[in-house]
Amino acid sequence: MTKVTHVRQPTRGGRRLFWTNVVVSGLAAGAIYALYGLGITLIYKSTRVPNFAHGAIGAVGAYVFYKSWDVARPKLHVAALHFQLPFTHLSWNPRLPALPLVGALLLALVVTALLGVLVDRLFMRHLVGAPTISLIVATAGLLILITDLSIDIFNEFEETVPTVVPQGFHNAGGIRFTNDDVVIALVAIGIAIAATLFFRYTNLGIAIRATADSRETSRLLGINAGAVSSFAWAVGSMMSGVAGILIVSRLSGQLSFITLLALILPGFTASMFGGFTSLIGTFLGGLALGVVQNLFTSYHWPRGTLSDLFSAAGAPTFVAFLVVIVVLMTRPKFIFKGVRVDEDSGVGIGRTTTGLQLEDRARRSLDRQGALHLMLADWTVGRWILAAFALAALMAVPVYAVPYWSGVLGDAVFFALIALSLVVLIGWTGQINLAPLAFAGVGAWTATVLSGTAHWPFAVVIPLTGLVAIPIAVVVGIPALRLRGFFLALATMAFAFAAEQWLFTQSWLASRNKVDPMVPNHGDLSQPAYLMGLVVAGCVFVGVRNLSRTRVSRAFRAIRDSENTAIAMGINPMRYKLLAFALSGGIAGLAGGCAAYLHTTVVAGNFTFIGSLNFLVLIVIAGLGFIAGGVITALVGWIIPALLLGHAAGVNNGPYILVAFLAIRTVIDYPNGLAGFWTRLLRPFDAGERVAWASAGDEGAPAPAAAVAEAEADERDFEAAVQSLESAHA
Amino acid sequence: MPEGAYFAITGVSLRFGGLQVLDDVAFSVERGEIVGLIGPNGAGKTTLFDVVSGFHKPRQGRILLEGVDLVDEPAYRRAWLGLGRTFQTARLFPNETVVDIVKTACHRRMAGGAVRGLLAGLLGTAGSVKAEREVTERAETLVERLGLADYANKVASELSYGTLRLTELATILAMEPELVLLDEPSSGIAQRETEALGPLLLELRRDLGATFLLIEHDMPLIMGISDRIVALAAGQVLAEGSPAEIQANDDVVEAYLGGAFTLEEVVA
Repeated sequence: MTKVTHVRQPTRGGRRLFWTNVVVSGLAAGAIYALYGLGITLIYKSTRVPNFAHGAIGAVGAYVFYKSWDVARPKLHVAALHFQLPFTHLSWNPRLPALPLVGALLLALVVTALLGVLVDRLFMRHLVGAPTISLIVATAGLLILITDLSIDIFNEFEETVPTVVPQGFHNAGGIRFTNDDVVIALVAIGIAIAATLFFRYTNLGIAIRATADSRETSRLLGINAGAVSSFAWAVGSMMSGVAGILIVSRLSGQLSFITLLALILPGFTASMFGGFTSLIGTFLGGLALGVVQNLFTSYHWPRGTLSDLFSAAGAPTFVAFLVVIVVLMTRPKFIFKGVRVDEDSGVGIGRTTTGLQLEDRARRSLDRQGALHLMLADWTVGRWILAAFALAALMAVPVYAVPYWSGVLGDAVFFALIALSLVVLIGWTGQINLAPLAFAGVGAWTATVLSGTAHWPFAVVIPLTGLVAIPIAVVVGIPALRLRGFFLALATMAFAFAAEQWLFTQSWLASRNKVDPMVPNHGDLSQPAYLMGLVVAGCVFVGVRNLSRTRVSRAFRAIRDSENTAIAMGINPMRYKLLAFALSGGIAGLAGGCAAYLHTTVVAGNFTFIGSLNFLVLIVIAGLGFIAGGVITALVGWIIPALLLGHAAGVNNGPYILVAFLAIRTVIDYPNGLAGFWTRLLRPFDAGERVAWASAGDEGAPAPAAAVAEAEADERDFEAAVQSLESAHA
Repeated sequence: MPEGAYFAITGVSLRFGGLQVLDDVAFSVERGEIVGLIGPNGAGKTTLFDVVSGFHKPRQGRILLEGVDLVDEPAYRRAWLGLGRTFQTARLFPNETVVDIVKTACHRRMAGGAVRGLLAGLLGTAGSVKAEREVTERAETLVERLGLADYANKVASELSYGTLRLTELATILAMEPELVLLDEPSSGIAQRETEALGPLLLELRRDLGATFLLIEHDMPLIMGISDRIVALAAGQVLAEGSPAEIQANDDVVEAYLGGAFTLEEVVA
């Protein structure tokens, strides 16, 4: 039994003061979350888009402000902006005008508002009524696009700037707070009240609400739906900019993208408390989260494991994770009043008959080309021969190429496996998962603990990396039994953050971050690790391909397309959803284990939420519904950038910017879902397809002429069916 | 209530908030019968189907299939106990091909648990390959028998409503249920096809030897093929009897048409 012994037993009044201060500083932290969450709520309320790019837009606002404010500018390491044409040395380094506080603030607001309008006009308005997965991919793509562009333009280093709010520290009867706390709380409550009044009493506010409910109906009423959504994006983005500027001030002038992006989780949590629609609810929710976090981390947990777990640096994130899971699982009525819960999985795959035929044709034309023609005439045999050649070539890399390439290809294997884990879970089963790298991290740390600390041989450790990740993935999958679409995405995002900031940063793991070399006294360790990764990936791909032709994979796909019909056919949705999480987690765990052996040291920073989003974006380009998507992801997301990076001086993020842009285009151009890679490659998108969203309500309704032909065909079919059945009996 | 009935609903009640959707509904069905369920919009027909197939849990009442109460069985289990149903708007899997949809419907016929299926599938065991070959053959036969061979490799989202309906009937054949619930099989298809639907459903019954419970608004169709009719109104059983008796029943006529016409006129 552990007994807590305080050095100094506080008096009753002292204890009360202590907890009062805990609550007050919780409120102060919560005000930040509230400020951040308000913009998320505003955009969701107006456009039904969960905006994962909110933080990135806010960061742009903060950078513009601090790069133009005349007080802050002289203190910056890099005051100028940097634009450069990729692959050239043509660059332009303009400076923003030096402006007084108000001028800089106005400039930041104008820039963020324009950014918001741009986002709406270029991307989001084409996605009205799109499946949840498309919206998440689009805003995740925006997050990557804006962040990587901004890092190239504004510079990637963290800066320390003077704070906007004069630093001031107050002590009112022992209760301590700062000027920043007061200003942020006042701004947040001001915005919450003003926006609530706006939505309730102004014509424009009511028009926005009407448009969000039904774009078609509001259009019939004469509301300019496009202008309304642009307005919402502009205002929401300005709110994000204000939040960014104030949060930098509150963090004693730390200006960096990472801190601002990491506020996505508390921001969404605050918004969740408002049911994603109530601004006052968002404000109160932000405060509640801040207070709960502070109470939890200030509590004197019994010395030992609990104290270690709950007072770690990432403990507030863990609390946010718990809060998100509890609220989403119970969905109290007072929060979720009138919130539409997705009926379907929110994942469209957009398979088309022409697409399937095109893929078939692509395979066959590959077949016919080149000297291998005769050998490959029978594709089933040819495919294996081709695969054997490819495998032999990949196996030969460590022997003939510089070690660098074993490392690059080893990471490509990691990319392919993570992508495959998403194909199984999102593409097949329709369960949105924003935490694939968290599962990979579990695998990686399993490897370090079992190999580096317990010194087990790799042949035992590698299978265990997959096996250990399975129960964790199943536990994370439990919310999927109650949640769909956006809510499930939110729950997995909370887990991704909890893993990144809390689980993987435990001090217990910090000293256990190395694996034993696979082959003792071998100079370059990446070669054996790469070969092992290749073998593991080969086995996993063959296994998943086998599985794709069984009732299990059909049950997965049935759940994705219509859960109720699947149930009516006798498929147990709970069991198969958890099975999909288990399989996906196991694959990601193996990927993490292989990566641990490849790099020999495991770093928490490699298994982040943003990294997971990057994979989501990549697999969407590569084709979410197809096993080959895994290989294409490795190619597009890793091998090609690795080839290009060395030459793209000055625009280091070029390949990632391109990838994010491609992903957004993919979800826009293939509105019926995320069609397969071949389909998109072989059949350039048809502008007519995009119009499908205009009547999102009766998606896929055929044109009149087609309808007539269809009716005639139906008639023939029915008569034929009756005859066929009758003759069967005769 | 005949205790020995093949399928019986006894005292089923369900409320949505303040609305009494089903109020003490009770009737029974004999093995091999086709029982039509009629009633004006909002009478609770589809809700009753949802209760029978397990998507809603009734506040009270029992659903007895061969004397076994289904109320506490989860929805997917009821399919294993021999229940098959279709939905009002043919809800098939939009991204799957016709033949794959029919294969999915064979789920119940394929032995083995989910985890065992996963492991066998990953390893590509001889058993899983053989099971797959069998199910493919079966699905292709069914697709052919319903005259859908031309559509076998087409994706459901591109099919016309009529073809979707036929695919749906193929899935019912694939499931081989003992009790089939069909929710408005004629909805969304044209008049001429509705006329073909009657014989088709009769063929289906002969094929499966199953019992049918059918919701339908098309009076000639339902009166033509049903052995008995149950008329619902405002969540209650209004009348029960042969098609002829129902057509002559004043309460039903009143509920349906406000008394202005007779059902014979509508049917004719």
